[in-house]
Amino acid sequence: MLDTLTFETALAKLETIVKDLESGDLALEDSLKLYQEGMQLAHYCHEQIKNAEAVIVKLMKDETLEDFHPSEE
Amino acid sequence: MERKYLTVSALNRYLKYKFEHDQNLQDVLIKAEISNFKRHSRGHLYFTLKDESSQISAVMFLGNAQGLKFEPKDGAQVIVEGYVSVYEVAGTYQVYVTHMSDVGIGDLYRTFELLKSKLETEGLFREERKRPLPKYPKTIGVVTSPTGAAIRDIIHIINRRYPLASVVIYPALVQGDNAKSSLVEQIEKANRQAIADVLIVGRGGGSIEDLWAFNEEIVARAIVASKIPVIAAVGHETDFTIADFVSDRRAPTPSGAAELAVPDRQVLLDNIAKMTARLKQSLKTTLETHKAALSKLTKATVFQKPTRIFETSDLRLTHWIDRLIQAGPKRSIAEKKERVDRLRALLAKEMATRIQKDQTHFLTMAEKLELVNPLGIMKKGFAIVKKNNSLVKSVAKIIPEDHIDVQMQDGSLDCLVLSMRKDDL
Repeated sequence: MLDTLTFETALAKLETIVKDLESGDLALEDSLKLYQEGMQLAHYCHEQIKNAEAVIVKLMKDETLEDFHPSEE
Repeated sequence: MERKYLTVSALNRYLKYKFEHDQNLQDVLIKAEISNFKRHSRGHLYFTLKDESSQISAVMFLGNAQGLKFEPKDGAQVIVEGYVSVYEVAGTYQVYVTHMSDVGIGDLYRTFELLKSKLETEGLFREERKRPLPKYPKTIGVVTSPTGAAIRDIIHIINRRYPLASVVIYPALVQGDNAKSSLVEQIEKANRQAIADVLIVGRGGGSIEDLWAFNEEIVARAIVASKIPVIAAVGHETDFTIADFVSDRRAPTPSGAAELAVPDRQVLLDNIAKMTARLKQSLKTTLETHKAALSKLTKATVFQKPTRIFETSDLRLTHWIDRLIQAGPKRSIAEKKERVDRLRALLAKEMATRIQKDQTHFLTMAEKLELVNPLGIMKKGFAIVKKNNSLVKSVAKIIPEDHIDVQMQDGSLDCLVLSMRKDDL
């Protein structure tokens, strides 16, 4: 399930889960289920950020993308 | 040796002394543009003097300002005369203007003002036109020179803050006659390709002439037409161009634009850690709440003293009866009271009759009883004979010389039997 999520959707979902869980209106079973899902999402988001190495930079030359190396001054 | 500490006041006093003893600062003549012009209620004038790359604060006190032969305002090119000193309270230095003359509004400024007011009238600067930037963009498009400092700064900031993103550079000329059409072309291309989630349009600092392409109407209109949200980042903090006014967000510098474009990874990590903690805490709270509820239930009085169920109901019943009586209509109560009184009277009468009847009955019965009462019989002269305290009904039970007891209505006789004679009935 997590593999198909973008970082943004995962984070938004995590925020919703935290709020739902904090509302305290849930049955015990649902709380446990949400807790598990929330922890998975938090882990996923954390990994996404931690594993990102460097921003990919491309130059749009006419209609094609080229690798870009910024000139040093 | 121990070093001596200065107070802030002492330091500023010293700086002021240094400024005021520098002959070069005592009489200065400056050509500049006015901005941030403010007239204080006491008549002093406060403003900024600037050129393309720098600025300084200025004050003109009421006494000097009264001699002005023109109305100073933002954008005015002026020549000022005065001295430079330190304002000790704020620790700032500024020009104390003694004289100021107008050298007229420049042509560029006039063109700028004209286009600005035209686009403003069209409503292109209105806040409600401006779109929010995506919070977590995947691709940031940058319309700028691929060789300038601006693109390096932008890449550096995005790399540090949010390496999840990628950057696509749309190379454009950012100064010179061809800059405006180049900028328009690249903004339009970015929109046609629709790869980027957000677009940074800008360049690094320069003179007002260098930045002029960003004051062109066709560039402003290309930014307005962009379907991708645009962050304008032209020159330095103090430079304002038409592109800044029409874009969705204005950044003071290209680095500032990169900071607006992407979230900070450290903030995100902190945020995720906080949410993880909140998840754990709320689960703990939920569990504790359920546990407490369970324990409260088992300790509830009904389990300990089941009779309480009825006691409560009984209290409530009494309560409601009282309430009902209080709330009942007065007339109805009066009627009921009257009926009760009537019934009570009837009952009393009934009881009296009943008692009378019972008394009569009792007397009749008593008379009947009297007939069978041995004492009654004795009143007629009969007597009862007993021998050894037992009733004797036949002479056969008695022999001469027996002692017998004869009871009569008013006493008894102790008798000695002389003889016996049995009758044949």
